[in-house]
Amino acid sequence: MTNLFQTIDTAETGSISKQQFNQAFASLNPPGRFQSVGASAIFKQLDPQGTGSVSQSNFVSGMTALISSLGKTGTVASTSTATPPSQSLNQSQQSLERLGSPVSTSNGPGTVVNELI
Amino acid sequence: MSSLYFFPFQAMGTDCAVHLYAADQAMAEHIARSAIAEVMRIEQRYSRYRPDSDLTAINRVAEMGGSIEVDDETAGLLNYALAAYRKSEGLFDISSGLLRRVWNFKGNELPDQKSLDELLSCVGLNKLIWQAPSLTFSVPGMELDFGGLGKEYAADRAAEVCFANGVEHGVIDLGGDIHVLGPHPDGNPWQIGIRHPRHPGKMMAVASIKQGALATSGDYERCIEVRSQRYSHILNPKTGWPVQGLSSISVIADRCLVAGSVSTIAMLKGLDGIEWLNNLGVDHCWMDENGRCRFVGSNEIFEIPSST
Repeated sequence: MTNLFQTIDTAETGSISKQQFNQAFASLNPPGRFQSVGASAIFKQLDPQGTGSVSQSNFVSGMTALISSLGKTGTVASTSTATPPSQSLNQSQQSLERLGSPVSTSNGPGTVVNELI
Repeated sequence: MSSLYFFPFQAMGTDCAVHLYAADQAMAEHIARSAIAEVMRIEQRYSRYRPDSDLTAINRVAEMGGSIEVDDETAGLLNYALAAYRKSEGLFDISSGLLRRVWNFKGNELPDQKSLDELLSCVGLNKLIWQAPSLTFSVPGMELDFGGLGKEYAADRAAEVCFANGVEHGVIDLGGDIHVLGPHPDGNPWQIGIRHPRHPGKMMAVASIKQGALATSGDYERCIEVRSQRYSHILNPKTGWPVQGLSSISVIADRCLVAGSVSTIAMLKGLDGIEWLNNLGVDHCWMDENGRCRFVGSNEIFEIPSST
């Protein structure tokens, strides 16, 4: 992991900027499971405070944890028990069509709670 | 005893996240992975950018005119789109994406009316003949775009996957299209910030939601300014011109798809959208182009942020 950090930190500043990370992500062709998460989301995990850069130690520990997390195998939770897509959409359609009908208004129309400016 | 886990990811061109409470990390990961896979599946099927998507196959027929048979899920989306079209009296129209061809929101010029008129002749869901499962484009040159539905629908589906796997406390966030599965385990609501339409990085409100969905439509994502007049990317499909009046609308509903389409319809109605929303009876907040803002609905759902 240290080697990877040094590959990305071409200016040898001891930290990696988001731009450097994105460029490396695009050019190094990471495994599919990383690509499905995306460069921006991964950098956000490495840099949770949003400082815009990641030190070598944080990069190594963060990437190690991420690889462990993404690399775990096991039974994937099921989507088959979820509501079928067409049924889900039908429920949404019914919900939309009910809006504005006399029985749908939980609050009564136009209850102004607060006003700004 | 469950803990809160957070899984960020990217999909549909935006930052997304699954927040859920689970017994342990492994269980949380497995469930989140399934939810994320469902979002990716929907993106794969209905992205207009992917040459292998089902939507692209539909649009190949739309371009030439003709018929195509669709499966149950696509039929459900078309049924929903037509219901929203009726609810909006023709303003919510998934065939209006064609208008993007003449509106360049990265430039500083307006399209000419002749170009708009030519495109408008190919816009309008009333030009479709829909007898499920057969969809017929009676006019060549049309195009459908599920962009106004896909992300919201995916948020609902991801939530349904989590719920089917036992998650009772969590939030799906697809770039601000939110589906709340249930409150925190202690019963407290999730606090969801709503961005200020004129001040990036600031919030105009905070919504407290225990269950349901929140979606926001705004004029801030893409716009151009020509001769001191602001033109947003939200286009009236009947005129081809951007709507004006409101700068942001957030709606709370039981489902994200409903919240999203209702907020979009209200934006399309301009200032008339205020009364329309009031009559629907949904919790909502809006800000107009002059910065006037109102929260409408149940007590304490919307609050002014203490610090922006």
